[in-house]
Amino acid sequence: MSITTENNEKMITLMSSDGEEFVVEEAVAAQSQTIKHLIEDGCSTEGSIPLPNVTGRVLSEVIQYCKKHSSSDDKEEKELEAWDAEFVKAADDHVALTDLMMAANFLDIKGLLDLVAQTLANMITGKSPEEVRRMWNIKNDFTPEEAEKVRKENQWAFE
Amino acid sequence: LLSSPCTVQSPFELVYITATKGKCKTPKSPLKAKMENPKRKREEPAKGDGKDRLSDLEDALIHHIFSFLPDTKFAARTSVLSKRWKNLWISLPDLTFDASFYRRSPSSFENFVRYALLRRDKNTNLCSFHFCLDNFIVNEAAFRDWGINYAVAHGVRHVDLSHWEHFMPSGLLGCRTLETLKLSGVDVSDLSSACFGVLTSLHLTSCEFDGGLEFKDSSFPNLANLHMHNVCGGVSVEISGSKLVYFEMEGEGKEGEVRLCAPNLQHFKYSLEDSDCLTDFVDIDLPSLQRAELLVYYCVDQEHEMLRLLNGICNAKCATLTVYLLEVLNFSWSFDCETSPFHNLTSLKLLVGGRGRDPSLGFRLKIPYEIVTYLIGAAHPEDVDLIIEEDKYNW
Repeated sequence: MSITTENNEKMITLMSSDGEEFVVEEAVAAQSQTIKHLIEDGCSTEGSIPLPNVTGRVLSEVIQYCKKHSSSDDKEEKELEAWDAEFVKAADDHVALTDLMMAANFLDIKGLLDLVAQTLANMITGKSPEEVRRMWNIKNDFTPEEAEKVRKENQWAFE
Repeated sequence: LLSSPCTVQSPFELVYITATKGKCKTPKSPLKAKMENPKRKREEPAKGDGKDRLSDLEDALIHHIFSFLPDTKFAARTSVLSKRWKNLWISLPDLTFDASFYRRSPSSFENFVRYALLRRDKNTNLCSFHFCLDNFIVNEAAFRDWGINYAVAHGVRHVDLSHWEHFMPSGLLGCRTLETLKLSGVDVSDLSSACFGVLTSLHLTSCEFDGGLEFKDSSFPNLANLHMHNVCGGVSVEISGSKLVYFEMEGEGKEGEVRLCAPNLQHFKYSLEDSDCLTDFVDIDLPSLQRAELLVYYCVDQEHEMLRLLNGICNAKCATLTVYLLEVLNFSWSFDCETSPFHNLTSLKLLVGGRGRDPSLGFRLKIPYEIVTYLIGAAHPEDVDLIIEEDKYNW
């Protein structure tokens, strides 16, 4: 099924894992290589494209990103960078960045995948292991002896 | 003598013991407090549910995050987080060693690089290897070569050597797997004798060379992108790759004579920001050129060289020129009997403003419309889009 808008832009319906439907322009959806290939293979002619791995909440964030990046080819890079920085900050308030990363990976949107990876990397750099654990609820399952051993093995990384 | 880092006790070890023993809550950091903001909690229960979402990511995604860390030691540090993380970093396909992160303890740079490469999973091929030296840390040639040779032996595809200030490592010259090579501060005199069968991108920044530098199909059969930023010292540069589609040069006019004959080049970009001396393109032949950018911000008494360069990019469909460049032409040349060098032009973009020695000059200069008319040509001026844009680069 494809609807066309007034300006003749082909529309695509994306369906999230929890049944939410999103109608977006084909050019926006095609930012995702996965969806692009599905469209090329004719998978979009029968109703909507189901995305079993992505919830509606995450998908709406992803679509926001794709909309911005499909409409701003000629815009200045700096402005887009600033937008990206705001986007990951705001997105983190709504969905976990890790969910966004998994979605970007599944949907094959390199720009978004790299953006989230860079953000997560920045959150790790310069933090003590305990801070990283706290931030991400990582449970330390080493015994004190094991922990000491791992720490000793990797001593040069802590200089 | 190498000091043992184990003597340095960090407070988190103590916190960790109490946390595991009593399963008690760790003290709240401001960040944690923010995350437990009740309003936020009501809106999205997923985040405060205590799940360890980072550890749940598949290895490849964690490796992808690691690849954005400024130094691989930050990846190695995650080994103490939990058993899940203990060995994640040793199969990392992208390695970055940046000596500037080791200034506090210079000897640990070499120690960590050696440890990381020896500890690394032998079965994981290397994707990228970024080796960045630092003026404050002296290291032996044997160590540098050892690192490079490790990368070459493990099928490295992308190499980035920064602040090198040394000769080209000979081990790299025979690397058959290399697709991207970025060199900064390297003496690249030996580059012409290399054989990079699958190399597609080469970036040279602040590199020096003696004699002649050649980029020919015999050494670089698949080179598609060539960037030369402030490469200087030699007598001549000869570029004749048949696969070359993109060429970018930031000149200082110290490259010697440049010959650029690339039958399939699509995009040519040349910048001259703060130098009197235009690069001497003695021979330039680009039959397939689509896009040309001449970002010249300062140039005097070189209208002949400038015209030769303009003639060299005569096939371009889209050209970007600065108002400075037009001013040079305007000031010193009579165009009455000349025809425009461009014969395929469909769009001409003029950059107003600038970043030369006197940036405000770029705004004060008026666009010399008779030069624009000359460049667009008399034949079909209505077919050419004229775009006037404020220079977006910072100055």
